[in-house]
Amino acid sequence: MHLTLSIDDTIQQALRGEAAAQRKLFEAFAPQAFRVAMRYCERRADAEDVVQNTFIRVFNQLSTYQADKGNFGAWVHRISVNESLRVLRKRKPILFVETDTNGQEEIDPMPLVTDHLAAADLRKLILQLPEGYRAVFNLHAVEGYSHQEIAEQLDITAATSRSQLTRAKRTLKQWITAQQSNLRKTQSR
Amino acid sequence: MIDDLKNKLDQEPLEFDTSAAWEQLSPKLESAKRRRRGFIWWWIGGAAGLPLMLLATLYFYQTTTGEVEHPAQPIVWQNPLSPAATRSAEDRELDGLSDAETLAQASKTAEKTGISLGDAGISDERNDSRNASRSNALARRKASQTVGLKNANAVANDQPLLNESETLNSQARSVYPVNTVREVPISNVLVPESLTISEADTALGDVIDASTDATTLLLSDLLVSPHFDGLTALDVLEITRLPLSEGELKALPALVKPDIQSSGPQKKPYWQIGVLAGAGYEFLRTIEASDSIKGRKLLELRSLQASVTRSFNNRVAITINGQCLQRHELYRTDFTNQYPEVVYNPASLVAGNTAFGDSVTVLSERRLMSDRYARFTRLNIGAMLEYLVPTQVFDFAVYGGVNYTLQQQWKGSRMVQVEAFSPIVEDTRGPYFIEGGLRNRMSYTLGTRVSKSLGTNLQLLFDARALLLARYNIESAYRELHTESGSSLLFNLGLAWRID
Repeated sequence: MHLTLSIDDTIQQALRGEAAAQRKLFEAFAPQAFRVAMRYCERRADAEDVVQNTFIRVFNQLSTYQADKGNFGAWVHRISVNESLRVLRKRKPILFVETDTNGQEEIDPMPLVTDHLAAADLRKLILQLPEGYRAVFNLHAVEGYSHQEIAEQLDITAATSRSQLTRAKRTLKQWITAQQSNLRKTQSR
Repeated sequence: MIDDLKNKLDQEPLEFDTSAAWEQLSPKLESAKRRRRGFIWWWIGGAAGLPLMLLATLYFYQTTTGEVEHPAQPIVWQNPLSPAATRSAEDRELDGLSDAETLAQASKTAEKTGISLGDAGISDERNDSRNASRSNALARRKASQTVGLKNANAVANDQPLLNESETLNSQARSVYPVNTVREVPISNVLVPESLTISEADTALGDVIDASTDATTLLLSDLLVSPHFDGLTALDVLEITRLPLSEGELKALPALVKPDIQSSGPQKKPYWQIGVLAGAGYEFLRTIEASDSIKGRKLLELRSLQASVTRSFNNRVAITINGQCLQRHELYRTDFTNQYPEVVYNPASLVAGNTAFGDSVTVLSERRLMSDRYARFTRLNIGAMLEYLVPTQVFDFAVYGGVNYTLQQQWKGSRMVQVEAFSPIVEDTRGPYFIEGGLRNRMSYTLGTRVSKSLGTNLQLLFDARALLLARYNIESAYRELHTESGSSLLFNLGLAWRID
């Protein structure tokens, strides 16, 4: 039997320090936070740390949450992205490889075609990207942040963010193409 | 593409054991709550503790540094014909407390040391103070009488002080119209307390004592006296009010003039310890970096400096200084970004492990405000050689030397994200320490310094210096690496204590 409650009521109860309500919120939104973390962190243990830190922050700052503004899930999502980036930074500084482009924008490769890829394969490919590429790719291509926002979050310039994204896409495209050709070869045999 | 990718990634079934994760999380939530409470109590305790500490400090100073009263002793005008009037009220009071020997001893002590000592027979602090004041007065009387009896020519530029001296002399003369120092009793003239015994007065007393007959004391005697260095210009003027020869009169201005100007050239080697604070800017800066970095404005350059100077003579000195330079980069951004967002009805339901309810896609807004900073602290340990140019108004110095530089770099940021349909998210990072960054450790300094005496040993310093040819590798607040070389111009203001 599932106990049915509105999010507002649950939040109010959690604010009063009721562990049952806190647990309910955790159970409802932790998988979402874990999913976000798994896009940024190579290791599962790191992703679990992200979830823990995310909910410590959520419950500590729950009093700032305004129910009329809604979307508790988006708030948790946002915090889990921040915590993922924080864990990445803790492990080692994110390396953003700079190359001199003589002031010219790098050409964006063709859009990624991922239809034939399974979700798990796509995530694995993303996780193989260098950390700088991966962080920018996830923030822009998956979370939908602008380059200016990414620049603020990662302490880089918007231009660097753009170049990292272009390179991430190019790298992914190469890998996907290679995978496809390998698949074709296997099928032809 | 965004939605495609996100949807695709969300399709992957990821196993997550929420029960186990909750078991791990719940103890952390309790400890986080306790830590927060601890911080609140610490803060309240600290806030309450500060005024208590202030009160305790005030109480401590009030009880341990009791003020010694120095009652004002005005000049008392008395009828010279009245024998009773020849003795002041204070003298009469002293008679009741001590004998003539005590008085003589007090006088002698004051003469020799310039520092009054308490009478053994007067035990409490107030009496000690009164006795000390009397000792000072006695010593001053002797000097005043000595000078007063020899008074012949007042020097024009010393007129106000001489007038005061004249007043005292006239009192002495009116009571005991005698010509020699030795015959004048010492207990008949009152002087203001403001006239305290100085080292120069002691030396003056010694010079006069060394002379067998004060009326024959000449400038030539003074010049060969071992105590001459201890005399001030006023002392010289007072002593040389004796009849002088024409040659001696000509020599007098040259003798006393430099000493009258207290901030004039220093004759003796001295130590000087100074502390200066200031600000500056960088010039001739070259940056090996992208155009975006070159165009960025910096700079706030602050400096705190401590120096020890030793002058060897009137012209040459060396200085060792430690200069802490702090450069601060601050980038402030504030912008709004619009994006499509799926918004759930706040009254949507949570059932078991799933949240669901009505949802709608809206154009949302996200405002992002951030401050990011990078702070560079450089410690320059420098050795300078100085060329001194003392003038009548101030001391001027030109110097040059080398610096050994150490650098520390920190950076961090604070970001606030305000989303239209969700609460504020704050993210504070750092400060992180960034290692390395120094290309060459040696740089050079050229500078000038002007110092002006503020009386006693205190000097006001103004220092302008250039730090030349420093090269640094810098990671900016935007995480970009670049190399800078350049020079800085710094202006410092401070105080110094000069020890002769």
